[in-house]
Amino acid sequence: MFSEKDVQLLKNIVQSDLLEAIGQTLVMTFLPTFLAFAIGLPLGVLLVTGDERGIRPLPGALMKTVNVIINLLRSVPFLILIVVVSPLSRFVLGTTAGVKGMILPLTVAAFPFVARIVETSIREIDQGVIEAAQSMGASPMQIVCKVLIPEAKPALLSNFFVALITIFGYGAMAGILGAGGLGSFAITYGHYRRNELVMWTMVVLLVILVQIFQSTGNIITKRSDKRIR
Amino acid sequence: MSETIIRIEHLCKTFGTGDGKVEALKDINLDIQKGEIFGIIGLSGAGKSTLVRCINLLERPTSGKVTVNGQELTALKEKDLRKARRGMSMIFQGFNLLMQRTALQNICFPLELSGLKGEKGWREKRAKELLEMVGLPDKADAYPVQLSGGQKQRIAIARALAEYPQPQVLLCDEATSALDPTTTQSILDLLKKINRELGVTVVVITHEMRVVEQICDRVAVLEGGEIQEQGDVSDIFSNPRTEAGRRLVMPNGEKIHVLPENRLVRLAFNGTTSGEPIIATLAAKQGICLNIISADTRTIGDRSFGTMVLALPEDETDAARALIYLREIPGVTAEEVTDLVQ
Repeated sequence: MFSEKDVQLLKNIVQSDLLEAIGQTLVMTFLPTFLAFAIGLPLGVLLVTGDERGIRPLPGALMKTVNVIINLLRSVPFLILIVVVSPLSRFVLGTTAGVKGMILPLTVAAFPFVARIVETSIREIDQGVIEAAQSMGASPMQIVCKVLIPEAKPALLSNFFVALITIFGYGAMAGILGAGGLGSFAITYGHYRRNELVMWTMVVLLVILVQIFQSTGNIITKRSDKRIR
Repeated sequence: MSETIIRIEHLCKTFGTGDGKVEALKDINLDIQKGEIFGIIGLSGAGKSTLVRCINLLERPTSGKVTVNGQELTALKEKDLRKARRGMSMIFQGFNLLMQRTALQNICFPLELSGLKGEKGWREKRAKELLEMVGLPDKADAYPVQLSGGQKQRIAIARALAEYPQPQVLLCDEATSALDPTTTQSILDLLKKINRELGVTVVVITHEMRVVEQICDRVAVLEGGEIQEQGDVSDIFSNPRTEAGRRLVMPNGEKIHVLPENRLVRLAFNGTTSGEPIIATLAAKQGICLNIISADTRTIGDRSFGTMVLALPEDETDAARALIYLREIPGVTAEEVTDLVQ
């Protein structure tokens, strides 16, 4: 089914570069996810609290602008975003290629998405609980730290893994622009060299990683949720 | 002399603007005395929830003044208002517990908010005392999802009282409406106990007459965003003066099909005549038979309250004698009926 040459190439990859590629994939997944949450979590909270009916309403014009920017960033196709962000990446990190070059584009692509899913998670909280906290004299900041985030924790955790897998997918896709990692191997050694064995092996590895992320996510989310008896 | 703890003056609340404008509350004036249990009763949509939210300013009144404990809340800045809110608490129909915290942690919540320092574990110690008081000492580590409705409300009550120093006012927004009758009873007993033993002023918002019957000292009847009448519970019960009051005292109305020529009389019992066979006495001593058209009476404490509608005999002299007899009974008000509550 596969030629001697195909098998030989796969052997070489597995022996020399595979571990490094997996490492790169993991870095390209986790680092931008954490960075995207560092920006997206406060932003998502702000989208809820700054709402005209939120606990600390902000000027409507400001909220509208933030919303438009988020929608705009979310609608730009990821591969184009990489190209657009690359000057910034060169300026900040000194490179636009490899794993390092992908961190910034991936973060920029992911944080608006994270902001939205944080917003949704927090909106799920019963308004009555917020009202109860207000009736006890809680300040907006206390409501955020002691009510909104802890009460939304299971949803936030679950969404963390959704974001993680989305960013993982972006990272693999970025292989086409020389990002490094498993996706890059699938494209350069597999697709471009017409080596199906290498390509599919990489795809299978990607699938296994996604399964691991999702299962871990499910277990962690379920454990954290006290609403489940 | 009793002392006013909550004073509401000319309070109005309007939602929306233009054509969609809804006047939820119109010129509300109320004085609630320290240490009493005050009921605000009304059917849904009467504005009672808005009214209770205006007391701790969860809802900002459109106009009017709210003064609690001598402090005019409506004049306070947000930050001072938050401080003032610590002096009063609220419990809700939906309990509103933090679902990701245990019962004990829920009770500690207001203490964490106020940022008071104390020796290690003082919050937990206080929370445990409160758990004891609400009768759930063994539920400290249970999460809300593991508790029944009544238990959740007990935790909510403990949480409401946790603040240090202890709140002087407890606002109850339909606190028993989601509970079954037996559980309602136990929660009402608990509220009564808190009122008696801790001297907390309790404001009860409800649509259920029996809640008012059971625990309130005074009551205000709210309908269409206005207070229709207010006074001692026994007065309102024995003799509701307004249409709204009668509708609440007699929720099923006086469903009557009568011959038009019969004059009707409504007897209102204000609680002093429990156990006296009025109708039978009239028949036995004076030979006048009255037809009972409808009756709705109930016993509150050891006295009976309620109303009864009687048809007077067709004979004018007998009717007049019957009226005189009925009007002479102590503790009973008899009035000829012109308008029946439907």
